[in-house]
Amino acid sequence: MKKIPILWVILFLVGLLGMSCSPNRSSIFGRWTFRPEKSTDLVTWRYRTPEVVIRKEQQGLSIVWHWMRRKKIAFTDSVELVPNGTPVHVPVTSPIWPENWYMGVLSKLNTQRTFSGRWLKPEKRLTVQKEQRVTISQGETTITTRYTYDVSNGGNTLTITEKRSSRPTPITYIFVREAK
Amino acid sequence: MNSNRIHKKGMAGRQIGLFLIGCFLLLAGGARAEEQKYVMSLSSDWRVAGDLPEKALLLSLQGVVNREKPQLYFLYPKDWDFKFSAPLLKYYETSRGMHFQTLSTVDEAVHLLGRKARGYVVWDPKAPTTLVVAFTIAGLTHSLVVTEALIPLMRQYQLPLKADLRKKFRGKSDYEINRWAYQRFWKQCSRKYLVMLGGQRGKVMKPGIADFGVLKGAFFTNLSTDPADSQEYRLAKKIFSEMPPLSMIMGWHVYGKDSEAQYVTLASHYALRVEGLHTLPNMSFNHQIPLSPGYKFHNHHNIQPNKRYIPQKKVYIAFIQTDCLGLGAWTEPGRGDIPYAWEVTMNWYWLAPAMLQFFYDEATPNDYFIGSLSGPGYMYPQAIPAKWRPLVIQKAYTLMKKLDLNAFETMEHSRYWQSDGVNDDLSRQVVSDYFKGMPGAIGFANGYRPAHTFAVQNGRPFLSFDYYLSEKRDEKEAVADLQELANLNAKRPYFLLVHVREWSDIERVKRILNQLGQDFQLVPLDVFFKLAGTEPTFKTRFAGEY
Repeated sequence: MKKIPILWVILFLVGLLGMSCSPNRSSIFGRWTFRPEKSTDLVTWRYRTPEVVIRKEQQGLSIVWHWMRRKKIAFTDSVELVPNGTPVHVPVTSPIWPENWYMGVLSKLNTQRTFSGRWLKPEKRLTVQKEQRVTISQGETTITTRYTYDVSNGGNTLTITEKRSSRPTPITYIFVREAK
Repeated sequence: MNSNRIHKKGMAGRQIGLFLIGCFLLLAGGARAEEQKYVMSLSSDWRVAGDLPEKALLLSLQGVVNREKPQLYFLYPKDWDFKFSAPLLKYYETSRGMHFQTLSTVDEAVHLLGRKARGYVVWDPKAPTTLVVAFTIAGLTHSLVVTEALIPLMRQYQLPLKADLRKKFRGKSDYEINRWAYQRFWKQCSRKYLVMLGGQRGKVMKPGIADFGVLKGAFFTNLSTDPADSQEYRLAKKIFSEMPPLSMIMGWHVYGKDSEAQYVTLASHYALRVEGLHTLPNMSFNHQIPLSPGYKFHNHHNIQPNKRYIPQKKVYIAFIQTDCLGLGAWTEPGRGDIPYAWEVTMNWYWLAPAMLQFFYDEATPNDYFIGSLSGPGYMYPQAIPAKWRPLVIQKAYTLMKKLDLNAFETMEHSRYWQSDGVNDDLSRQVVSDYFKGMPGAIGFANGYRPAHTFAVQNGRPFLSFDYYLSEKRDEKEAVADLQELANLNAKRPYFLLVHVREWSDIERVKRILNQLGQDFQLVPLDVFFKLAGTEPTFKTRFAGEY
């Protein structure tokens, strides 16, 4: 009978230690696995599956979208930015427009995409704005896309909402934190 | 005397009359016997370890007996790629007065028709590629293909053994087996037809086209056309190179071994025409049924001569259903409700004339046919050698005129797997060749998934698909995709050409269309081309100009 309170104290301390050692488990930082059944129906470039990695950097953060084909990375789209900092520019080196394979839209080669972001809730909720030039049948145009990265209270689910200036409806991606 | 003579004459006259009537009845009966045809239903079991051996026997039987005349027809199951074997049978009965006796079992089929075979070839289910070789031998020797279990049936009808492929190929690669077959049989085979007996492989094979290959004495193969598979690729290339330009590659590539793009690219390099699929049914029969006497193909044109088509500030949308007539939506509900364009498999004009007539006869005023695909058959324009391209286009244009077609479609995937699916486009020279070689064409469509080639010449547009409507795409998202395209292409008129994948039915297309809004206007494809040619708001662009 005397051992039980001691056991509870040990368990409590272990739990407390665990929480203090992994602060990121409840933030947006981490590697995220796509859950298509909970997301908007996507038609990504050649049916690739997205995987998102968000890392804390010395200054700001990096967001990496891997487009996976049969568990291999087919191509990568990444940006490093400082929330509330100055916009960053990323050169376009491929005409692939990964967002939608069924639409006659290509990324405009030799242009730059511009990214800016800010925290809506530090390390929990982030908004990123992207501007890009695209090639369409009538020539070229600009798409402005606003992404919201929102991690659930338990820290296990990441919801990314994508609102394109050209699209009447938003696209929702649901990811779960990759198990270690 | 006289009267007696007259009486005798009368008797003789009656006897001659009766004799003639008898002869007529005999001939008529004989004619009916001549016209006797047989039909048999095939089940959905195409497993090597299941019913494939019997099906393979039946397909070889069909190829052998239809050499004499078209007399054996199969009804394919509902899950078969091509959906028209039942309605086409009915069409033959009503339009051609054909009578079919139903066959229920393989034994019955062999009993009634097996005597027309000259022998049998044994293949080995433990080395399924031996079936491919067995069909080649069957075509050359007018034989039936069987497995060991079916040999007693052959012996029952005293058919001699022509070749035995059992055991000797177990553990051998497809390359080794094909090389063996090439060395022994290629010289005797047709150079005008080759059968790529691909599609499903391993546990299931669906060699629906085999009867036609047997009929034509074609070489059958299942070699890979992927350059990375260097041995198989080199042999496939050698075989293709030994066929005259514009010859036919029937059948389909082998799933999981290479890609459609690699297969059609290699064929196009030798100006060969691909005619899919491996499941195309009853071609040894359909090949021999002519058009109705005096029949002319009439398309449902929607444009009026000398009328000027002026577009309004709208989004004009037109739908083209691709991937061959008879796959998917043609037999599904909704056809005829909205203007719709259909790719015509133009070689059916001479490969299966009555079968193509069936589609023309069934067409509603809203069904508008267009020529396809890049040439007289499935080809990739950029892969066809420049010296052959004018001939290819001329041949396609000749077929278009015979089929009353005034619009044409191209598809270009010869760089598909190298460019990560980006470059589906045509060079300025290739586009110019089509404009020049098809002077009566009012417009051209290009692509499969969206492509980016756009041009116009004397009011004749060359437009790429701006949207690919997959049968699996969520309908709400498809609506949003189309609306987004209209927002991105903000100038009006905007010409939005949509490729509808073959498995999407028209009811689904109608539901999507109804949600697009009043800015959109659906028009028949020929009207679409006329409007686009009048006010081309698209930007002229060719391959690589991104």
